[in-house]
Amino acid sequence: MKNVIIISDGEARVDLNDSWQFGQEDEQIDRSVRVDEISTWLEHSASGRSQGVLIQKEEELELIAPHLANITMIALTFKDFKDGRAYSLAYLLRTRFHFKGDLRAVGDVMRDQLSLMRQCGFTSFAIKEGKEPFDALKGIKGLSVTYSGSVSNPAPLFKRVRRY
Amino acid sequence: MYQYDDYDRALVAERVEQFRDQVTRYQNGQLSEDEFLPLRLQNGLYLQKHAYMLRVAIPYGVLSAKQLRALAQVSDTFDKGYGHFTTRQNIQFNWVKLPEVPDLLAFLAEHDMHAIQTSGNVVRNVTTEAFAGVAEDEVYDPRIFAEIIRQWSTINPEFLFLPRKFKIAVSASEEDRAAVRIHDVGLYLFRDSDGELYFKVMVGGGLGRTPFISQTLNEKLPWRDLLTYLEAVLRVFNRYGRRDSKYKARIKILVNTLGIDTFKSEVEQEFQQIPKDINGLTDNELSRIASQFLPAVYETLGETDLEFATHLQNNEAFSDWYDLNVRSHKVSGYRSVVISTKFPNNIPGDVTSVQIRGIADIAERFGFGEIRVTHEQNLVLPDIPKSSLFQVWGALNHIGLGLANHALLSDMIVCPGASYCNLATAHSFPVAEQVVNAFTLEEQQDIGPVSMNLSGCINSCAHHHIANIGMLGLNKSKTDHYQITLGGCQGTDSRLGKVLGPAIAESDLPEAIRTIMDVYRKYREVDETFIQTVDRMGLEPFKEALYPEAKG
Repeated sequence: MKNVIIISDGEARVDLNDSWQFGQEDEQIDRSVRVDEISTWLEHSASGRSQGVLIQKEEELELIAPHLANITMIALTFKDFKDGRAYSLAYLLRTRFHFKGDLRAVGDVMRDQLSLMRQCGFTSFAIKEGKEPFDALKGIKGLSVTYSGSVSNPAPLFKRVRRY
Repeated sequence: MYQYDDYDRALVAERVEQFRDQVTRYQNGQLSEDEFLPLRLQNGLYLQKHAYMLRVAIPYGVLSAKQLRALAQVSDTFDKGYGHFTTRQNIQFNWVKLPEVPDLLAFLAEHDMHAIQTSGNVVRNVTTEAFAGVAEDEVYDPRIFAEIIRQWSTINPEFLFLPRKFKIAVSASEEDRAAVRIHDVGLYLFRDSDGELYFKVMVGGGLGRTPFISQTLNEKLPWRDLLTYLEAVLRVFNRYGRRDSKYKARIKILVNTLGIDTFKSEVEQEFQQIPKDINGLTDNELSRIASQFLPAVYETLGETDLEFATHLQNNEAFSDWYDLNVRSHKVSGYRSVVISTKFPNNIPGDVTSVQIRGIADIAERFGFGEIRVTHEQNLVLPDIPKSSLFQVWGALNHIGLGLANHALLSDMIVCPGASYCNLATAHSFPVAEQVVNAFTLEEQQDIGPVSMNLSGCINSCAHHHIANIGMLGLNKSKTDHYQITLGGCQGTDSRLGKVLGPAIAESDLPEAIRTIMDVYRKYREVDETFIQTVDRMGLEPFKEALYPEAKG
């Protein structure tokens, strides 16, 4: 994928040549860098399954849940940045299903939502085509004060700091 | 009122700079209209018919005199010298200019105010009743929990792109004065027999084109679990709420489609899986928030005041105002004062900067410098010594706000209508004024308490469904028409009004309301209020009087 922002060891950086590729019908892509749709992924035998899986719909969460130990990367789709379902799915993958791999935001992914995605457990971001990834990088940090807890910072502010 | 600490202040200040940058990028073309839209909405900025409108948050309707003066300055500097108080206890400025909005927000931030999440598909301003903390019938101060919810829901990263807006109200008194049951989530705080605090959680209320009164989701939720439970409700809504149609996206539709039992089990299932300790409220946090409210220091005042009694005896206008606009207070010798912002003195909810400054002065001189906004768009001075009431009344009259009409026919909730709003189909204000002007104050007093709300379109911003008399603006063959509903009411037993008949032309509306009032006066029994007569008689006599041709 092009124009990816990756968070590793707490640092966010742009990777213009990220090795993950979406699976194509007419092209052989090594399973270690391939991202298949969940339906395709399930059709493969265990040894042929890609290391990355694409989740596009709310219902697909249940399908992937039993297989998380065999997956390195999950790409969660924002079909429209105004559709916030993927934030809850990310929360569930991290907190309920304890997914430890890379959780990637793909689709309508832009600067002004990146800090929210990061807080909900996303660790990489495939920036939308046509948007400048180095500009988008500025959106990772967000505000320095957050009241509620989140995946990246589980305790709410009143348990995180002494406020009096 | 709640005092910001450094964290609250830092969050609001950073948010202003974040939005300033977003505005600049929008103006440079780096953000498209579509990309900018939710960003500005989440910062309270709408685009209306003629200009941008900024809705400033007034958390659960509480303001200091200093903040009120800051709002007056905003209206003079950035608007046309007035502001409009809303049913969500906020204030709107109808004529702001986009390039000036970041400076406006920075000015508000200096006064511990913001416009965060007053719009957009997010958790909106949490509301409670205007008499919180001073009402005689409350079990606990609802503002404390409203503030806890405000903090938790503010820029909560998981819930900023919900299917639709989400409104929460809290009530902690016997009488529900916060219209709890028309909210997406309504919370009734109560004590059990051991004195412990619990919430009764209601869900799925809302007006608009498909009005619903909320249903019970949880009979007895321990207060410590409040945020965890809200998280469960919002996660279920975020995952399963409809996103294909704006009109079917509110949680009321999800609740109604699944049925309350299925919805309840979804929430319960989610709730059980969230570790309770993470968001669990503690005694410490509750008392910390409570102490941030700086409780008012009351003097020991007697109830006996001969001078006051003389004014009441000799001054009929003062005596009327006292009867209608002054409420009892939990502390002896104190009263709460309702300041009417309604016709004929004001356009409902509209207050000029001169009036705003005048109210701030009165609140400081006679009260503890605190002001409340009611969901009926009036203002309240919560703590006025009984002995100061005559002076307060005089001072209010001096700025044109001494109208004695609280809860009367002219105390209408009216939306801004098509003159301002893109959504409205009818013009609201002019016809509401004609209706009010058709009745003298003496007639209104004879008629007694009645709620009359007028919405300019089906979005129901003026809550016409839960008014005793609701009026809904429609546009038929180029003239405004109004559909009348009867029998709605708010409170713990909220009900939706029923449609009386075909919509009535704007010019005939004052006469139609008179006809309805004549039927009431003909049939009412001693001490019976309008809604009681409607409940006893049913709609028929009103229909017959209003639509005689339809008889038989």
